[in-house]
Amino acid sequence: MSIEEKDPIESVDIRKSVQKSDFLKELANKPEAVLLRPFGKPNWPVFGLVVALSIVAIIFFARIINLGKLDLNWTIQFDVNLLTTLVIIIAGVVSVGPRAVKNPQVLREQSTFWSLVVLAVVAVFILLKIVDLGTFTYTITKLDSSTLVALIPIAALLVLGWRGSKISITALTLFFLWWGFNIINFGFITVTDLFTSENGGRLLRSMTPPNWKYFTKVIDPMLLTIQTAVAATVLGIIIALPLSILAARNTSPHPIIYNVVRLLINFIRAVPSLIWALLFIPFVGLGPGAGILGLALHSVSVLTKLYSEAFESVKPQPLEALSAAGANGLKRFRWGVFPQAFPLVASYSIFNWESNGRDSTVVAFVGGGGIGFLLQANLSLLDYANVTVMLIVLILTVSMLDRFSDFVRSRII
Amino acid sequence: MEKNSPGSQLMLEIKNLRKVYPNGYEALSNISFNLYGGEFVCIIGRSGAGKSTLLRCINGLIPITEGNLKVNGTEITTLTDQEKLLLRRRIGFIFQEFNLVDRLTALRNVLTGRLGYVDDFSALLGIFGQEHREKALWCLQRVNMLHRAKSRADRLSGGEKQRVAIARALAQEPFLLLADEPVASLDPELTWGVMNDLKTIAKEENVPTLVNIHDLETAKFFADRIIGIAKGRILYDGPVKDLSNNVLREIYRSDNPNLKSRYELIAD
Repeated sequence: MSIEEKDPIESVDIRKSVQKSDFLKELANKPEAVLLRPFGKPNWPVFGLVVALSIVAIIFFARIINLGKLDLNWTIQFDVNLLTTLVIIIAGVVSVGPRAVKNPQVLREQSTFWSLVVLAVVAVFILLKIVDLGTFTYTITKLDSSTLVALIPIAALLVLGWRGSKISITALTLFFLWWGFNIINFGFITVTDLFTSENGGRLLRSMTPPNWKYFTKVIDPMLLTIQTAVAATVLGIIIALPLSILAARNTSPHPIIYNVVRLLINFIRAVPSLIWALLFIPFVGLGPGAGILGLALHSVSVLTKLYSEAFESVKPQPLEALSAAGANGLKRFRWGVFPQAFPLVASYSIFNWESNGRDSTVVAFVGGGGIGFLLQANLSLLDYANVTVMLIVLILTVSMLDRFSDFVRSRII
Repeated sequence: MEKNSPGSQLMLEIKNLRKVYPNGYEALSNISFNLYGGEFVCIIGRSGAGKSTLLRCINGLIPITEGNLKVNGTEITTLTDQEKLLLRRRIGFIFQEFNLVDRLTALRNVLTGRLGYVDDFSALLGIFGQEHREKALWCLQRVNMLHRAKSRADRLSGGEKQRVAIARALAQEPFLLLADEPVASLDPELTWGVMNDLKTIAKEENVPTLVNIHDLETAKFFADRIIGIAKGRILYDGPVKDLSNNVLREIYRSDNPNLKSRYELIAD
């Protein structure tokens, strides 16, 4: 008689239940022991294919094998007016069509009607060349066949990546990064130049000691720079608030309006504030005005996008409660959406003011009176000692603005 | 259908109500019942039976597929969106999740109940006249939340939030109160407290009330009348005392034959 007590339940049930050690053994024996490997099991055929394609692409792109240039004279030409009209018509149909097919009620809504009217008016405008968008002409004279051939393996890699091969995506990313650095006159020599340049050394030596006598001349322009930032931000907020209501999916009267406003805002945002300021100079002349308008336009685009995202992120349930109490859209926005979105709106506005403070330095390059203008003048005259003073003042002021803005933002929740 | 008292006003008249969602799911079929002035009616049923849909159809938040629904004599299916808003401001709605605006104070939340009675411009500027503010304060006093009038809504506890929500519904001077699972998120003690407040106020203001409840004991204690809904149909409509275990078994029957509802386990 053995000493150990045999518990009948234990001896029966454990055999029936999943044996822990068997499970692990099974897992380790399986060819795809995926869970035990950090990156999963590499798919060797695909891996080989990706490496081969990458090598082929590099060979042709880096001109290790050079196929030379082809002489051509192809001209692509089309009327931009027609194309734009077509695009507008298609956009209108695509945004209304599917919904109208499912629910014919949509076509009778007032907002749909007016949105389509606006689109039609713009289309006719362009079609009748009231605003002439011209003819697109592009002539291809020489074709670099090496690059063209290199595109074939890249296209193949893209297809593989689309189908889910992570190795392919890695290869494409590395390729893209390598292409980004593939610039003439940029490379290790640029880094060595930093440390060995004669002109650079001269610059650094003439920057110290700073010419503090210049300080008095710097104060007023610095204040003007801050004023520019304030004016531009306030203008930006005033215009961005109503625009962002149109650009938020839950508050916009109609999807067409939403899409058009979003598109417009993205276009405006793509242009830096300095360029906008330059474009305003013929209208309002050189001076802070052009700077303020340029900054304001950029602010509008940035703030509209941020505000509309804040509006879209509010909880919808309080809005349902307000609707149940009989509140219309405007009241629901003012009492349901806006109170919830206010911390984000305030935070973004103050951050935009802070960033405008920095941008207005650059913008002042084109406007008289700001510190940017002085900076540019002194840099051109090689008065680097003055430049140092201005830089120090600039850094201190902007840092103070940053701190102040952080403090205010932390108090609003 | 028994009337509460002779000459009791017919507040709600529903005939053959049917609601089918666009994906084909039939949430409500052939719902018919009436609601008379002064009644406190509890609707019981499983989750997903259609109780919330029914309440939102009565409110006009959800459009009806078929049938007639008359609120205080007005046929709701013939109303435009504008007119529905005007109707809704006289119907108070209380939600399970309270649905207060978190960053506003309790007082301002109750004032949002008056939004149906102010014009767009005043609402935009946030100017509520004296009478609106007095009404809001009175409503807060009714639910014993006057001492927290200036607290932000997200600083209140669950029971306090629901009381503010009741005050908000009250501020609308409603002729009908709808409550969608008002006590589902509250603990048992608070449940009875809030239900008691709700019933007291409804009786004192003489406002007929429809309450969705999934806890049967609470419903049986507070209701004048019970309506039992299962799978979008009414299975029972009558006084509390006539509610038998047979009916309860039907109402709470589950789709899954392996899951037995407690009413199948209780001997009849």
